[in-house]
Amino acid sequence: MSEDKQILKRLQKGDKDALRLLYEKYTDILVSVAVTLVHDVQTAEDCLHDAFIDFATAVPGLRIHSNLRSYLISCVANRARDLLRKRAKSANVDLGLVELAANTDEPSSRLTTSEGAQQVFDALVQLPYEQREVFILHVQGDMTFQLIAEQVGASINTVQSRYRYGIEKLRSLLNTECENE
Amino acid sequence: MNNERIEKLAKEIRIKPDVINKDRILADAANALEKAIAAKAIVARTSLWRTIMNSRITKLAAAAVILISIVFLTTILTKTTSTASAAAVQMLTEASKAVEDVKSIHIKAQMRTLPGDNFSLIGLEYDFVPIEMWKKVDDAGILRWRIEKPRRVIVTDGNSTIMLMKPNYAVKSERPYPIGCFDAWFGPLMNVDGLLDSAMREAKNRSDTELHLRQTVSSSGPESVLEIESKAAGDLTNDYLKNKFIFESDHKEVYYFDAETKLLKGFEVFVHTDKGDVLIFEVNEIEYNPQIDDGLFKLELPQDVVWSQEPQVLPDNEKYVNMTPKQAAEAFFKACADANWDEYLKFQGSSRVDERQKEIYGGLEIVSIGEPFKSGLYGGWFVPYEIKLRPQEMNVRLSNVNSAKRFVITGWFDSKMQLREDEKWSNEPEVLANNDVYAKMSPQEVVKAFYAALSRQDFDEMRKFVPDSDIKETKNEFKMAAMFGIDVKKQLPTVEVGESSWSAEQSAYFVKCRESRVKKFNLAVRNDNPAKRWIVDGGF
Repeated sequence: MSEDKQILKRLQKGDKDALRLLYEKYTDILVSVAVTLVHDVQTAEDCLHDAFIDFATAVPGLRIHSNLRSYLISCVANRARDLLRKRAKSANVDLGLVELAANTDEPSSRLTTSEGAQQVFDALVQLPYEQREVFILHVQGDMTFQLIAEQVGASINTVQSRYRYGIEKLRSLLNTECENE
Repeated sequence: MNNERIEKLAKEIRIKPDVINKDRILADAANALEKAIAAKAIVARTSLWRTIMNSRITKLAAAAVILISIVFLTTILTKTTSTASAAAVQMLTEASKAVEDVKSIHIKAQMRTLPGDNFSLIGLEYDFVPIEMWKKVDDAGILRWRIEKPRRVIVTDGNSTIMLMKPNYAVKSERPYPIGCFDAWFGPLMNVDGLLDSAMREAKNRSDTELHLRQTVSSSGPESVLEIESKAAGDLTNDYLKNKFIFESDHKEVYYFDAETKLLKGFEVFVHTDKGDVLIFEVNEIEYNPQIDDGLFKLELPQDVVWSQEPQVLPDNEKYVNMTPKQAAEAFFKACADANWDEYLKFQGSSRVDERQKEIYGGLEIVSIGEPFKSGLYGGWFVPYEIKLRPQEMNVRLSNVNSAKRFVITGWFDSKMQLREDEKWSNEPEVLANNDVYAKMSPQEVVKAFYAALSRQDFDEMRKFVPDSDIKETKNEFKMAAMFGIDVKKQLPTVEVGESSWSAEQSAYFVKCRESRVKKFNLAVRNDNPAKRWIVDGGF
């Protein structure tokens, strides 16, 4: 039995320590996905918080084949989408136009990676949300396009198109930046 | 920088997790876990559960968490002092535990809307339409729900979500969407134990929301009444959508609780107008933990269902992306005029063209296209248009096999004798005071008299030829048209009544008709889809 299956079994018996174990195991990637999606630590924390509650609520009926990584990443992505949609609704703008730049200094100052990764992080915020979401779930989350399609409720062709447009725009943005330097 | 390099760098992005409040997340998640496991254990005790829920007091307590949310909201968000004493809070806390045990719920309500239109469409003048909601959570924690009005239904079977707009247009998601999707804004009422969170989040996101809690006494006893006031949302510089959808109205939601048991007794929504408040939605009945057959969460779909689908990027997508809303409307109507259905589909979020749509809109003539405008929360544009539809051949079925022995209309058929609409007479046509006059009329004369009455909007006269249900629907259509600024008289069809014939197969007479009409309205188009093309979203 995989480690995650054992953790899930413990959770289904009500073992709260198993929750901490799971948090420690995946918090790194979940925080990274959340912050990259919403570009704001406070909102990312809300996503993570709500995603863990969603997960905990689903535990009694949950079945997994291998590990909980994709499931948890999906929970985070769903919550990020919900939060940004609400923000978009209250601002009466398209989801892709939700203001994300306000707190960009905060997460980027806590980036623990290279300058190149910092540039990609900054460029990602300029992608329309659907493209950013697919890119992050595929690259950071290691999720297949099929799985992403199921999660975002779109066809696999649409998801692949979003990815293609997303990475093309990133390349254009990053190469323009390099030329300017 | 190439794609591989970008992907590699993106994978390297890591943010220090120590900026996150781990303790808060784990504490709340542990609490949620405890509740979820307890809920499952409760479901396992089915027989005991039934016994408990037969007790009125326990049932009444089931909605108490809502009131807790109210006290909390009132205190936190409006800084109004809650009158709840510590003892009351304690009592509510205990009562809220019963709410956690609610595994199924059934709500009957009614709303001033149209049977087949959006769930959030409202009309101050509309008749009430019944709305029913069911929710069930099974032993494995799988959520199923159904929300229905006469000609629109949404069902989640735990795996996928389908909305059917009768007769045959459907939207499907391979995911179990949360209650409240597809603009079924009142659905979250069924989330008895989640109403607190959702109401609070909504109130936090809306600075113009006000909450008031008051105590009152009704004929059924003391009540706690929560009122939530919301201003119309969106840009209403052009007020075309004002009071046409719930979110674009100044409205008040009112929750009624039994003061003693804390049971949610009722829910109403009033729209504020210059002439006073208009009741637009009300709950008539709430039943906790009823037995609900799983079959209710399976939707029977018609064989000729037309599926909504997300617009795909076309080979010549740019051509459509670069259109203005007005150009898109022109191109769309031109596709109809040319009966170019491949082109037509490029402006539709559906898999194929319904044959009836082809019959109605093929060969239309564009009279004028106006300047696009925006209104309310709607993400797209409205494009005023006037079109002349190609004359339609149709056949009206009539029968005088009834106790009044006069001809009445029993159905509408297209030129190919395909049934368009069955007129269902739930009661026999009444014997009129001057019944002889009508009993002497031929089928042709009856059809002529019906259209003459329609052109005068003489509903009493129309009622002599069609059932009450048809009159009700026609009245609502007129009201809707008037509400959207349509001059109904100018848009009524001109009808030439032709010969009649007897159908032995149907044991009825058929009268041939030729209908011509001009349509003037606003086409709703939007391009917030992955293909960024303009899609016709309504007003057609």
